[in-house]
Amino acid sequence: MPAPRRRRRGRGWMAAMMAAALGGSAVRADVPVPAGLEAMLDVHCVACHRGAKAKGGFDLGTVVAEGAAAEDVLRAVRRRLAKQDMPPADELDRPSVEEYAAAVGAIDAVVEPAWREVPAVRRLNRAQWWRSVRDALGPEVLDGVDPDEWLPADEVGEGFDTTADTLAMPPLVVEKYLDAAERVAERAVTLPTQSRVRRVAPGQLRRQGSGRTDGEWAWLSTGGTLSARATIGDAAEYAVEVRVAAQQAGPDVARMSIEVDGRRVATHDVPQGVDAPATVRWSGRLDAGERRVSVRFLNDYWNPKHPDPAQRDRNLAVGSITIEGPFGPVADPPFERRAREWAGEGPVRSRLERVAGAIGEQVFRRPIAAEDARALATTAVAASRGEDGTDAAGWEPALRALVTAMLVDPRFLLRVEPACAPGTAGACALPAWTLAERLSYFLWSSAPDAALRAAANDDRLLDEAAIRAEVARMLLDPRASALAERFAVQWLGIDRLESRQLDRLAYPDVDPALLAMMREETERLVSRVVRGELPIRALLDGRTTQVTPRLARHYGFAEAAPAEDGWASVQLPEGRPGGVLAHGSVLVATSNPTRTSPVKRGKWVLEALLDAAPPPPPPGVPTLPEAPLDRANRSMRELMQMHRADPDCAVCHVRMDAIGLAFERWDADGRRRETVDGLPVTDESEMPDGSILRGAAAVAAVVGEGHGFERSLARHLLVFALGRGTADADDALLDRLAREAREHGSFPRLVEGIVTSSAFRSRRPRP
Amino acid sequence: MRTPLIDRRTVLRGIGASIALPWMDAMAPRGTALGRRASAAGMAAGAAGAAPRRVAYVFIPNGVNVDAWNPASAADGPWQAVGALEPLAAHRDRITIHRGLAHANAAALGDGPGDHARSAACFLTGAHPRKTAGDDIRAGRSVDQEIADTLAKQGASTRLRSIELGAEPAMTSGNCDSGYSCAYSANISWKADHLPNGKETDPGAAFDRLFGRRGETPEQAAARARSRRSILDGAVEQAGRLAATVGRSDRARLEEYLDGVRELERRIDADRAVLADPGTRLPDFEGAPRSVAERIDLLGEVLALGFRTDSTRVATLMLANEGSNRPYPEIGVGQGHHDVSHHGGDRAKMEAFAAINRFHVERLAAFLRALERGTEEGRPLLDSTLVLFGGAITDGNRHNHEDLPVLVAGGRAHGVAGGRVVRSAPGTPLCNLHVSIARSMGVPMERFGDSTGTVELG
Repeated sequence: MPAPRRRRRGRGWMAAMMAAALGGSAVRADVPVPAGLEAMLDVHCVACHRGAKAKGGFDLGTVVAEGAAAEDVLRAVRRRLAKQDMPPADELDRPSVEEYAAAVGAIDAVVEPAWREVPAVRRLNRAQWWRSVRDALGPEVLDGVDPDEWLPADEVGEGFDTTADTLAMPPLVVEKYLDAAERVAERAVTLPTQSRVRRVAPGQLRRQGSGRTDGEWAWLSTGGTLSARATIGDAAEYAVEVRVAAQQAGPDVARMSIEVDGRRVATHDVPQGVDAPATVRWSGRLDAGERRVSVRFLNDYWNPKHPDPAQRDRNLAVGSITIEGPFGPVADPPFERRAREWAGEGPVRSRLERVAGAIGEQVFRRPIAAEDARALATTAVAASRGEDGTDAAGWEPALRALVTAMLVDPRFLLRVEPACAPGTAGACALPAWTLAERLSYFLWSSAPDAALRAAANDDRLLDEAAIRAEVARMLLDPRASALAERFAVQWLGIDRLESRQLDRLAYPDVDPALLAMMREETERLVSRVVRGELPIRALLDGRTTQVTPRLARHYGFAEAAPAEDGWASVQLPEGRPGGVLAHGSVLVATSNPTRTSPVKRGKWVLEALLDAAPPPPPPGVPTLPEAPLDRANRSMRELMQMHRADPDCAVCHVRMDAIGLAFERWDADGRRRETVDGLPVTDESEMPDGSILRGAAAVAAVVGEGHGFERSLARHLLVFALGRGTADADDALLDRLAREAREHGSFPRLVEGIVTSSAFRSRRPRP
Repeated sequence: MRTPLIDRRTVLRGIGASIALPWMDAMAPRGTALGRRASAAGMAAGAAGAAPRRVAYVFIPNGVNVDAWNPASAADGPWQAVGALEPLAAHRDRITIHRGLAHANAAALGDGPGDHARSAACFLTGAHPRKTAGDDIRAGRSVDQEIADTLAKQGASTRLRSIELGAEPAMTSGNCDSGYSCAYSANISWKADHLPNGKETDPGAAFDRLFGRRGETPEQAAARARSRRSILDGAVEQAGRLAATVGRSDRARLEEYLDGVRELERRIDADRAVLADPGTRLPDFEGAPRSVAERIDLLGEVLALGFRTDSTRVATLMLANEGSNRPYPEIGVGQGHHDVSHHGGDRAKMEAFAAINRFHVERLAAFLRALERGTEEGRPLLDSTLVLFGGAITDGNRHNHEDLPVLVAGGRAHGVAGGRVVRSAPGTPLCNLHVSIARSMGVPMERFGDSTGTVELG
């Protein structure tokens, strides 16, 4: 049985890469080299790969001489032949496609292709946790919450945050998930509260802006705010009272506003002085949580030259901010109302049991037995006991505890796939419930819904036709937006684009809001492909996109009336590359803060679109200078030619740079430009084979040759779906998926191909 | 008996006027949980006859501009506060510069490029990380975790065994460095060789972890602690049942889950006395930090407060992730950090790189000031806290790992004299210093990583 193992150290980077490509394999005694393969090695390989000076330190001379090789050597050869990237492309005498395929097949016949299996236990990542909670308890429980504040960002492996091996569970993460569970429970279930008065004195007010506090009054001397914080238990009506006065000067009377969390809710004149202060009142709705109620001084006045010293300075003084409430009936949150219906009448414990029974299947993604519901209810009752150990706490605290307990439960936090029966050789089919879970986390980043659970419950889902039917249904469900929001953004490297910082001087228009729009533009295009409205190739050369008015202005598009959601569908103007190639998201993500980066763009095309990542540069290699015209006034293009002149760099850069330079018409902020540093932009470049690329549209044409683009999409999608990297054993599936996708062009069918594969529907026992 | 109070005005005086720290307003008035816990811890330590010692590892990525870093320690005799180290002038006699220390395991050793990922992973583990984009990540257990666990075994009952902080969240897409998982670049603290600890990047959330949730009344906090106990008991039981359904090799994640749950249960016990105290009012904390400097300095303030109240004794703080390409507009550097670190001799880039080095050193100075303001039996907290500051790449432009930029601050109680340069033979493992520091924390440690002995702390 091949076992994942620590790989052997090679000599030099080529050997290291080859070794890294080996994946799971075990050192075994040498195996005989099949005759056909031996001839091929002899003809095509050993001229360079022989003896002490073998290229890349990879010696095949002895293999041919002895007719036998170690398994991992054959795997390394297989990897190269499968990619058809050895012998190098500039070699005149290369094997035919059929010869390559035959050689790979010959190796597979003697050495089991390396394979990987995902660990049986993995935790929900942040995005999955979020969506699972939302779907189980209702969207309200997460309304207005920033995931960043509750849970730490997940580590990324194999390019995705779904990779099981990188989803570690150190104590910090366990603690954060417990804490988040409690916060969700507090939002899902409110405790009955009585109206109360919170008075915040001058000394406790938080100040932004200058001023002093002297006993009775907190002063604002040059604008700014004084704020009181309050923990609001229930969303309801509250009354805010501000004791306020002013020192008058200048033509106007002092003015102030009341703000809730920075949002202005009321504005008042304050003609009163401190000898006869005013009370300003505002009533309105406050949401549950930490609220900040502030007073802002709106019209500072300062004229030191005024002859009357009393007329020189206008200031505002706050004596207190009082928050009283809640008033009127406090509406229960939707989850609590639903829970009350499920619960019916009776003792608290029995009622909790019925709630656990009602939501257990959705939360735990498997049937919940009566005794499981009972155990949860018992835990919840114990958890909500008063200090003296009595059960007196009542329904709401117990329901809260039940929600917390279920969200901390390992059956919620962890996805556990059952082990194969002992002694299973090869793969064993996954049970229907596990399959449902894989399916929903792949397509929705969330738990199975009632329909999918029903298909799992009667084992219908084990039937291929039923899987296809579910895929069709699920991709049209709004929850499938997760494929755009979680898969595509990581595949294309634009996740959290709004946290990127471009240089404000060079690109003053770019702010987080604009970056978020750019990301959404790409997500919208992907979503249409996901739903089958557009073919897969629309990502590469489609001529339509969706933009907001601001984005349209930024790109310089003609105005188009947006739909109700603020987005308009537009045809791309002539000359702008299609698909995602000229999306602002991609152009920003492949740039440096102060300039475009042709190298990053070339690398991105190779990596994301063709899955042919170049090896990274050797150490000691300087990057390009930032100021484009320093270094004796050389242009970026010239500088890049310099490093391509170095043979160590040229190996990869000829291709990477040519592709990246073809994007030069598109600036780091996604706009079209006609000049670079005062010179007319050139976006023609020469590929290694001497062909000329004219602009980014030509890149799309090169990428679109054959089915390399489909294979890249398929492989990234498979990694995202399975939560593991791919290995040689996945090649056959990927090749088939890519070929088919090139023909039918349908994303839903590509997904069907993945979820009906044995990689998706079964697992192998891990050593 | 220690004085448990932090004089609020003393704290505020030291903080730059540009940085608002509203939560300090409510800092630990006498009779609060915070004050009481500190006092109880102080008494416990006092009974044992020794003040607790603390250690903080502060990490900088991307190496340094050696032309700006090295002049301070170039000459014989005391080091000079010049170049990138100039902001440390006020602390000159509290700091020892180490020269000649190296991390051989951060080098390629046949694995090709990826120095950034390797350096972060190697910095505190001394291990050569396994090259993988995701499957089966592995480095080594880090020295901070060795120390934290030993202190716990020796009976230290701090709220947290250790705390892991950082000023830049984990990266969320792609390979972070040449085929290495992002987990390597974004973590220096490793609980086990396959388990990076993650880190808290939000000062407010870090504060909550150390001192309990802001805005919660003592009654609420006590009720939550009681509730947690029952809920965690239930979770442990379920995890046990799940473990029976998976193969042995797949139980690791479940074990991690259980470890985390047990750690939380332990903490509930430690907190019980404190939370049952009527009149407890935890400090408040407002708003998100507005600049990188503010975020780092707030993390430092929270950490100093954590040490001060004996809530933890071991900490790591990453000023940025390894390979970080974040610009620093607040000091006029619009280009990315990684970009300028590969300056290739370009003068403007070298200056920008040195400015970032200096900026990070200024953050260290701010942290040291926070440690000075906190006092314990009339002595500054800085005396009982040793800070190791540095990184595992030397020259950002060359990616070498010899003569690393490393200095040790504070730690008078640990035996750090300060003011001098300790020159080790070229190539001496940084792990030798790790061993020396661990021993100075009272941890009996023979060897660590590739250590060959010890290094004088200085």
